[in-house]
Amino acid sequence: MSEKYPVRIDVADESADQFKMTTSLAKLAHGPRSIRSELAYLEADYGILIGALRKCLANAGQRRRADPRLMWLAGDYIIGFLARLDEASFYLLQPSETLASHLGVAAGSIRKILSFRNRFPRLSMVDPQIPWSKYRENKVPRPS
Amino acid sequence: MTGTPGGVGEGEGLEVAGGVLAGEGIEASDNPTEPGREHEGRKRKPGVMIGFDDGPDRQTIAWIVENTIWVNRSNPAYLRVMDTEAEPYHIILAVSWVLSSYLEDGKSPQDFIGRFISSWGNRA
Repeated sequence: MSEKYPVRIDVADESADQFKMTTSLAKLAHGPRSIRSELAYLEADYGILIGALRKCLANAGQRRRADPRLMWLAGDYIIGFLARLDEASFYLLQPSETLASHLGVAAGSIRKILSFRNRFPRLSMVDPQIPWSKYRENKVPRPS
Repeated sequence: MTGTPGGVGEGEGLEVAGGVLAGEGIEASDNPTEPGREHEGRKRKPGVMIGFDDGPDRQTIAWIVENTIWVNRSNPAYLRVMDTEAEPYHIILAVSWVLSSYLEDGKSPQDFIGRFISSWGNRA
């Protein structure tokens, strides 16, 4: 059974969306060769994720009523990143808090976006006529 | 590995984190919508962490801040071995060198580094 190693992400350069990632020292015992390049790749991946999420949330915020599809997309980006971490035998420590601090939003908002995305695994299940606030509060039943 | 009794200054000892904080992760839904993906593997708890950073003005091959060992990517020796077969050895050496400064009094840093590297060599 493979082991999953924790990663922590800190800001390296806020203006450039650059981040520093660290992992458990225990990872050394399982091939230190790739640690630097693996972390460097995931740092870049995370920077791209944060950039995409900023655009997504800014776009949603510009509208009178946030389009739930944009929030779905934000959740999908996050889940994709977490899945890539998992494939690389890592897991993110405090995922909601980490993302929230780097995006300048509340951790609860990230949890709600993720919960929404998990409840509606396909974009076609999301009705853009229903306001995001309803989805956010889990007041929209899933289409059968 | 020999224990790390604490740092040289106030509050600089190596912390052993108690584990993943409560309330983390994605909560399971009461109404699953699709089969979950099987996540195999045991989650290692965070303890001492390792990362890579540039410290062109530092003469050291690595340094420690709180519970994180930073390997100096700017060190000429590291630049020389980066992306070669010798890179893992440099990382192991850098880590053992940092940890050796946290040994109890009377313990030999040279012995510690030797054992640390040998242990890695035996695994590799």
